[in-house]
Amino acid sequence: MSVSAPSEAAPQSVAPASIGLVWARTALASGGWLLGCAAVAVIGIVALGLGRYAIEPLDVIRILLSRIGFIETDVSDTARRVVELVRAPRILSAALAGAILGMTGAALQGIFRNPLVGPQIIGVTSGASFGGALAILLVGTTAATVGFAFVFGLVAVFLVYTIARVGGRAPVLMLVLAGVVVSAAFTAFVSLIKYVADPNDTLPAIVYWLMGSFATATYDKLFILTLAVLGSVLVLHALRFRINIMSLGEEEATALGIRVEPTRWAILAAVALGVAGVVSVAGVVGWVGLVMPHLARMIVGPDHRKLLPAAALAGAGYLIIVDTLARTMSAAEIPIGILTALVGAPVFAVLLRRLHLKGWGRG
Amino acid sequence: MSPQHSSSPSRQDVEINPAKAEAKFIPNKIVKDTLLVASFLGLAAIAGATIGKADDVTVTDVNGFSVTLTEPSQRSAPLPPPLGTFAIAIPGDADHLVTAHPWSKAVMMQGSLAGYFPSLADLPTGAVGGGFAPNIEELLATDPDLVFQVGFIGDDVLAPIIAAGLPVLTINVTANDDAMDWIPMMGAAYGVEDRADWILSWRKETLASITQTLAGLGDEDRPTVAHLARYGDALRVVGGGHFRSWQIEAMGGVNVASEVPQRSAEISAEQLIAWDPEIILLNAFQPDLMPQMVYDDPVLQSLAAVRERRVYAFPVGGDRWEAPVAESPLGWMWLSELLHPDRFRWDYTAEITAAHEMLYGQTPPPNAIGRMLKLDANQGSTGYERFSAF
Repeated sequence: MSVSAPSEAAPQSVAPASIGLVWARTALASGGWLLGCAAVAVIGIVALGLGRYAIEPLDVIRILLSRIGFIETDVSDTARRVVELVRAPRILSAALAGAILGMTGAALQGIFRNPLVGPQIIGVTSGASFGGALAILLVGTTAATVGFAFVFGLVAVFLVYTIARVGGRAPVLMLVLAGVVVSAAFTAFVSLIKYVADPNDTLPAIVYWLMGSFATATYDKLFILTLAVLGSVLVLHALRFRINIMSLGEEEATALGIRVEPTRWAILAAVALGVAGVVSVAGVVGWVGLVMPHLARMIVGPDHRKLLPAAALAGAGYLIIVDTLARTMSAAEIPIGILTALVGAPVFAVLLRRLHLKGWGRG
Repeated sequence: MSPQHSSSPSRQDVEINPAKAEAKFIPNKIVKDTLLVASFLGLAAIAGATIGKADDVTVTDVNGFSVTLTEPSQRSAPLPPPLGTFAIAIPGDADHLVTAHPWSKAVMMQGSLAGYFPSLADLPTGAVGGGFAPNIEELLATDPDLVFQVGFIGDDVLAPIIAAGLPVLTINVTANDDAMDWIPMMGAAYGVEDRADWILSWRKETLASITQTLAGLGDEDRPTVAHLARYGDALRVVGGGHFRSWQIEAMGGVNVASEVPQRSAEISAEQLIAWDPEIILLNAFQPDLMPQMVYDDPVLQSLAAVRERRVYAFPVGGDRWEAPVAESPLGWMWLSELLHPDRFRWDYTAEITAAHEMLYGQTPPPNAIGRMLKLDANQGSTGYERFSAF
């Protein structure tokens, strides 16, 4: 799997512990990360064996091994194309998208100190939606959809930044309100595009794309997504410790020597990059960025050095499973946004009840 | 007045001789034209006799809406997309419509009609938007005496029109040839019942003759077909709930996606591979779509339709032949021959010319036939040379 989770196990406050204890904890933590990565990999490989075109699970393994060069195989060309050109880029895209949605959701919940925040709060989702819908309406090519979604996603964040900035700084409240304003504006523009779109074919294409789908995943799109995710992950990973401090609150962070404004904007830009990448290749995939950080926080706690990679792993595994359901349950694709919401909403309700007991209280 | 029909297909069980086909069709066309002129003269006589009676005409649609017209509609507003070109074909001119759906206007500009009726370039389209929602003020600004609207998506798209005091007739669109209901209704509204009779008879006769030619066709002789409603940025197939699915079955094919209940639905490439249709039809709603794009698609290389190069872009005449339009019989000729080249051999120059003369009173220019049949786009596809033989 191409989900690269940093597997460092940063021990905290272990000063009095013996060296042996540190080693044991490190080994245990590393084992946990390995287990997490392995679980995502297994989910991915199982998903590779499922689909509307019947392929023996063993043939899938043969195709994979022969691609690496281990064995020769006489599996049919059709099966090979289905596995290599249809399923593989799709599963990798779902994994990467789930990972970055989980990770950005965790980062945003940290810096906004709010458990109800997801990537849509800073306007990037609706901005990218508008860009993609505009491209389907005017151009109709995949490259245009991806490009427009990406550019307008970043434009939306820039607008949020401009509106929220008062006297050289942007308070959290202003950011959230500006995000609401910009989201509302772009949502209205999306409605306008739906209104003028051809109801026979363009409109369904836009509506379907907005609901989110990995159905048209290709290696080209995967490449774009990978670049966006890499850029986003590098920044978020580099700032993981600062996110911890920011989650204490603005005054505490300033007192601890963090330059709050630049740090916050670096994080927001990284989130925008990652989420725009996802929207541009798969449309709007809701709920993952909201729910997965909570799940991860229940397992590894609120320390963002662990929480970010854990949310990424949880998001990756979750989205592979949901997308596999979307493409196998019926001949017609089920929009993934419907499934993530159907699964996400009740899970989130349960998590909310538990939040009173743990997790946020420890932040 | 006896309606005239298009010629039935020239069934040929042996090798086709183009000269023979030509010789066979020309007298046919002359007879047809003569009959047309005669029928128009007869119509003029009857019309002259009835002028001044000012009998009210009540027209009722399939959903029970009815309007009473003191005189035939002169300024109609056909809001559903397929009715835009019907509102030209049924009265035989472009003077009876004051607005059309943007999608309908697009195909008027893209196909033959812009050349036949240059005034269409100025036709306003603001009266209806996405989701069939009418814009009442724009609609009122076009001063229509009759509005056509869809009757199957709830009252919201109808109530404002009725509230504005405009007479409205509705249509349904199901997985059948609903145009058989629209034609007599529009003919009555425009006061051209005999033209509507002819257009309907041509439709029924063409369908009947194809059905007859296909009689005894075994299931194993029906090629499997996927009609792509969108390709490129998304992959959508025509599902079992659409006219276009009925059309495939009626022309002796099997719609691989008939299990999908929707009109069209997003599918994965893998699902298309699992269905593995023998023939793929490309929609004309994306005007730039070409079979070569499918042939070049690395994911679809193993499809039988790609290996045997049997991907075809649907033609566009006055409207898109794949849709329920006045020219549907031409689309049926094309599709029946595509699916069963051993059973059908239509003379497209003769059929299209006759149809356009009847429907629009216009003769297509010589190079237009090939453009309608998309000879350029389809030239790399198996067997398409037979369509350029004219």
